[in-house]
Amino acid sequence: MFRTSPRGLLDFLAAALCLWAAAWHTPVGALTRSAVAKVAGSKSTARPLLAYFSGGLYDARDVEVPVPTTVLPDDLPSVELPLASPGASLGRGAWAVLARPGVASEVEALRARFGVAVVDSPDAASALLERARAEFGSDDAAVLALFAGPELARYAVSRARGEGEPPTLEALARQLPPGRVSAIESTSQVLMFGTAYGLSWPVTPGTRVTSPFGLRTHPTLGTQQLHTGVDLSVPEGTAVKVVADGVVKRASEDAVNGKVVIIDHGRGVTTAYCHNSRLLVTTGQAVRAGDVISESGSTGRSTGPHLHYQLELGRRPVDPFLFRGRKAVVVELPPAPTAPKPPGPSKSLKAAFEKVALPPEGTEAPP
Amino acid sequence: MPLGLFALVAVGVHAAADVVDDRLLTLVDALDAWADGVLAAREATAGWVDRVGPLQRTVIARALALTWELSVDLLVVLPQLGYGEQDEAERRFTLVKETWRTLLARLNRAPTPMRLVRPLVTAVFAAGGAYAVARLVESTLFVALETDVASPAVAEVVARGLGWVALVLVSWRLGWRAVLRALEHADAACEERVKRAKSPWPVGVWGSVLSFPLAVALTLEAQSLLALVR
Repeated sequence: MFRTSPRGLLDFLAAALCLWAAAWHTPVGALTRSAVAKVAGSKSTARPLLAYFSGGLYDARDVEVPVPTTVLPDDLPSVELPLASPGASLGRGAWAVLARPGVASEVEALRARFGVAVVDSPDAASALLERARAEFGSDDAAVLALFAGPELARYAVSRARGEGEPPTLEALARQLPPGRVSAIESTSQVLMFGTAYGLSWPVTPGTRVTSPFGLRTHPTLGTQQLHTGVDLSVPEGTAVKVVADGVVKRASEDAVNGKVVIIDHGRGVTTAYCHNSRLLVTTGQAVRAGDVISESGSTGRSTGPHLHYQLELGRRPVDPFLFRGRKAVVVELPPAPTAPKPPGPSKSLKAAFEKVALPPEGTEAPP
Repeated sequence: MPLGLFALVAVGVHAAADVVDDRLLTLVDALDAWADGVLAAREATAGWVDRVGPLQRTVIARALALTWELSVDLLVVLPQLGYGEQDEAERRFTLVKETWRTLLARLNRAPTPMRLVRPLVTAVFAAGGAYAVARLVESTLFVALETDVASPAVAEVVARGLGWVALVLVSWRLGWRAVLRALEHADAACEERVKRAKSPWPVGVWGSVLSFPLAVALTLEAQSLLALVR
């Protein structure tokens, strides 16, 4: 097949390189490796076929929601202010991932490089990331350095810039060699959590929660369903403010969610605001944190005026209170004549309360 | 050699499928929003709204991209395995000598969608595949050298140089052969149809329809090909 000349050797080398790339980086290569492993009776190292697509880097990750790491006082500032500065939010996100058992990181290499004494808290992680950001030029690269090592992060930034792309995680991940999947996953989780910790609140903080996140009996359908957000008790016409900068992904109306706005904040974080009476933005519009995007109401499948606020990380709904680090104020509404009694707080909410040393019954009674 | 050609074009097809993956997700999201609106309009079907969650939509989009890629692998890439090469002695006794010139002459005389599209898309996939191979070589070498052998600056220069070498080597030794094989396969399929007194136009239409959008998507991403010189 290959001629015995220098050119034949080059042909062989070129073919071998292509086979190596195809075997490790294409679904058809994964299928072949799995088949070979099956015939040989060994265990295949091929990833699931759908994992060979990098699109939606933050999507479909197994998001393990962090436990609250910082408890903030109840008397939070007004909604216009974010909960924490961007750097502090990222530090909390990093700490939430680093504190997990078994997470491989390059903290020591980064710590030695920047002369940081010890990384034992969200604030220390934030300080370390601040230094890394100054060197690598972006939050994404700084967090990547935390998990893939500083030299590899610097290399990826250099190559991404060479391709004319900003050093976002998507661009950096394309430059990494094989076998860095766990570093990319950890980085994407930190960036997601960091963004989520930096979100403000859509209505006045302290607004009563009439239905928390978690499994509940649906008030109108009567079936057990996951309540994918929190219901905030606000009168009709209340200004609803977007919780961070983003782009309107959807501004429309349907019979279930009513008039709904969905905002994409990037890094796999989206928020949804349902049952509004009036929408003030259109699909594709860029919004800034604190902009009024709608007026609350009771449109769609709703039993009264309220705002259903939903947070999704990696396209998975999570309890937004886990990223507030504060106590939810839940009230039990008097049951409607035909509606079943709403259940108590969700398991995740209870777990969150336990972690912040508050009793699970920390929900306040209605006034 | 045929395996090498198959692998090169398959890597290019995967690079293209990876590009369209995001677009498919946007499409699936829009379809789901539309379906939710339709279902929510009636009380009987309202309970089905949100049955397909965000995670399922991601899986659907990726499954579509995977199906698309495997279809193109089957229809366009698999014929690369039919590549054969004759040495001088064999060529002397061959009755029909197929060369670029004879193939292009027939393409010029009787152009068909398959004869036009297959070499074009194969050229795009081969270029994308060569670039993907070069990028892998470069990043793998950087990590290997930087860890123990050389300083990061030296490792980067060496890795980049060898990445370049890989790009040139693969394009020079395999790229043109892949295009030639695609043209040869298209030509043979069309001729076979002509021999049966049928129009050659519908031959390979599925392969062409499926591979052309992928090749266009990859071409639109081609600015990254210039990265190695920056």
